Amino acid sequence: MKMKSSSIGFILNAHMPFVRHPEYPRFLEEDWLFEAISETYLPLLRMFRRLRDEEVPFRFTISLSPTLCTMLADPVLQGRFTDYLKLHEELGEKELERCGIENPTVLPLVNRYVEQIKTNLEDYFELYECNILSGFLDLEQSGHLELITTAATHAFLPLYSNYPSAVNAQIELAVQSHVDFFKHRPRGFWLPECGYYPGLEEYLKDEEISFFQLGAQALALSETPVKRGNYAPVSCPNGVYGFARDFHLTSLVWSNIEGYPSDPAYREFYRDIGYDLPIDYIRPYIHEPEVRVFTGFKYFAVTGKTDNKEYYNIERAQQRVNEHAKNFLYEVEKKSGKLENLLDHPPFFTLAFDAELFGHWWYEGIDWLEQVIRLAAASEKASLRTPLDYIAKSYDVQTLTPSFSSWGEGGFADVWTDGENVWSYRHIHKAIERMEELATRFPNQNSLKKRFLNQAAREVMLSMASDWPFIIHNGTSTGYALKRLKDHLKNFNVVYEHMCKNAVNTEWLVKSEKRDNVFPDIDYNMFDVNSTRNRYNG
Amino acid sequence: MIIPNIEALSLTELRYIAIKHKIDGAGQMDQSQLKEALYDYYEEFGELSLSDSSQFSPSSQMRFVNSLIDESDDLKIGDLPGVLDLPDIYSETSIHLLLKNPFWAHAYWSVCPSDMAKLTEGGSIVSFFLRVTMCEKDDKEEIDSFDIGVGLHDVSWNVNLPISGKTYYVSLHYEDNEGESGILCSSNRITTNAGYYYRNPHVLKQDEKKFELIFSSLITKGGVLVDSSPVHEIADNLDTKRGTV
Repeated sequence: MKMKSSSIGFILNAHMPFVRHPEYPRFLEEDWLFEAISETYLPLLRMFRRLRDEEVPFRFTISLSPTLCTMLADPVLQGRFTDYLKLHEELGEKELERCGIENPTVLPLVNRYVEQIKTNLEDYFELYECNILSGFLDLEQSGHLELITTAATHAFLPLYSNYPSAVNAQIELAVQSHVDFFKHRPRGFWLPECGYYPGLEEYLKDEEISFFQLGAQALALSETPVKRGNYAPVSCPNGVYGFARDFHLTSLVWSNIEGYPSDPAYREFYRDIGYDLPIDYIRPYIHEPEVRVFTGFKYFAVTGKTDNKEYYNIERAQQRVNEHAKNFLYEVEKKSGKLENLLDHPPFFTLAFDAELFGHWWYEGIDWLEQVIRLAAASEKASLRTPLDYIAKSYDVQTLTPSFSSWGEGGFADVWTDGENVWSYRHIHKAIERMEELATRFPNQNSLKKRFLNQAAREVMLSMASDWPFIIHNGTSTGYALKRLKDHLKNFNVVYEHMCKNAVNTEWLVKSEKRDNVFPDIDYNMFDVNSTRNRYNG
Repeated sequence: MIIPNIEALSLTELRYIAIKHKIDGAGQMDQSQLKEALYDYYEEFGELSLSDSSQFSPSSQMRFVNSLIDESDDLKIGDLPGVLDLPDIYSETSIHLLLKNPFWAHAYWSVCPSDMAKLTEGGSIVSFFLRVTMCEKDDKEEIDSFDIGVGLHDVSWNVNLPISGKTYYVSLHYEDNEGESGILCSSNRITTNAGYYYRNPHVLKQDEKKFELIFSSLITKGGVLVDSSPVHEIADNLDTKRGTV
């Protein structure tokens, strides 16, 4: 059977853990969000708008996590992001002056950075009025983006399979949060870390979710022989679709060994003036007392395995972007051609990435995406589509239950259950059991007790975030992740101990509501074990 | 631990990191000495041993990093009022089983102090052991079991799951000094998956088209398979070399 065209389905997961510390004038870990907004989200929105203005057709799926949405809409963090941009604008001006005298070679790049900061400021204030969620919604309304959600606090769900109330809460609350922000139910669900276990689709179906994405090996390891590899979704027995990543095409982009981002012409991530310049000069732009951090001003190219780095050359990098975009389309078309005689309908290539790879980690990543979109628009053989577009085609799909899997090292749950982080599940599981107990013993409370119990539910949800064990596993900000994980569990215990004595600790409640203010409409009754166990036969 | 691209860093950066890691004499070292010292440092902490394919896993990519080293150790976030430390274990006798991968699970348990007091009452010495029970998939009928001796003060153990595609649970048992034994608690059940092609690799061996259809999306352009040991086992069982799409 002759195929007309293959579909490339980009699914980007934009997620940040809930990090908000108004009790400090400036907080190191809040920069994760600010870097992502300035280096990924704003440039990504600009690129999408530019293509839309030029009437270049494209369809992308973007998952915006509930914690990220909450932070993007939070006035405290919006104010702090503004400060962040202004501080970097000031540094940019200083750099223009310094480099004009000391290092004119990098001036075009400094200019580019300064220009991007100024444009970010303009977009952030004038276009989005400090809330970039409106930008994503606008692009969805024009038919270019499909916005989906992910677990409320990005929990790695297979580790909670024995706790239906908690899995249900992660999904129900995520959908509720999406409706709050975007005024419609999401039709897709990003499984955090591609973490799937058989049965998870039941919760998704209850929330009217049509599809989710999977790790590359999830179908190959199914107990049913998969017919079309990863080139078509499968329908779970309950009718929810699973789309498995194409590891071959994904690693052209993602891999730090073979991937495009490791090209010598591209910008070196690790060389940053936050570390390179004398402390007296850079002090106002790093963290107190003298904690050197990345500033985003990076002047060197990857070059190769040498410390003798070449200065970044914008034109040379742009040339490589164009070549890599062409190469990507070539690989897609080549692959489609080889699959032609193996499939009964055109392949769908699922390309699932963390959104922050583009622009933040891989500086040229958004330019590359733009070129891929332009080339795909001109191609007769490949087009950019969403999983929902594919579903709408009503192709014959195979019914199959995927295998337990993730996209983490080893392909299962090992990253989130290693020797350093596995201790936490004793406490998180206990907190869930106790939350279920509280919801059953004290249903439908009013006023202060309701607030107290809702805050307990928030703390349980925040403790479940996959980010804390991930950070502990990777050792990147271990002290902070440990503190957050323990704090949420300890905070939960405050409610449990007090409710067992039929009391409310109001001082704790007021302070914790102020600190952990995510999910304003949370209802602790969702942990009522009777209703969830009845629904999911747990 | 953050492992920066050491080869990419300047002298200033290398020196800053080395000083932060408290490497002796870092202030006086030259660039190559600093690199060598940092490689030794990271190797000592077992941080430079990622397998080839794990470097293609998104989880091996850094997220939430805005500095070259972990600066969060000196963090002082205040506790809220009335907050107490987490207990080491909870006052109950229970055991839980978590599936790490198709071959390993993690068991954690606690024994209530009153149960422990009863068991050790009168100076009778007890020992604990875990019994790992294997059943047919999603079935209660026991096929096999084996015991693992654990210490009285152990609270967790990684348990090997010998056969894929079975259901497992663990139970915590005691034995007193007269050889009498009993069960303290039983865990939830977990089921491991034995994929069709894992059980029947010959199907892929006999059908080149099917092989290409399955494996062409599981391998990088450079020939590295996705990081998943069952997939590697399937590949190992295919002794005929095949091209990929």
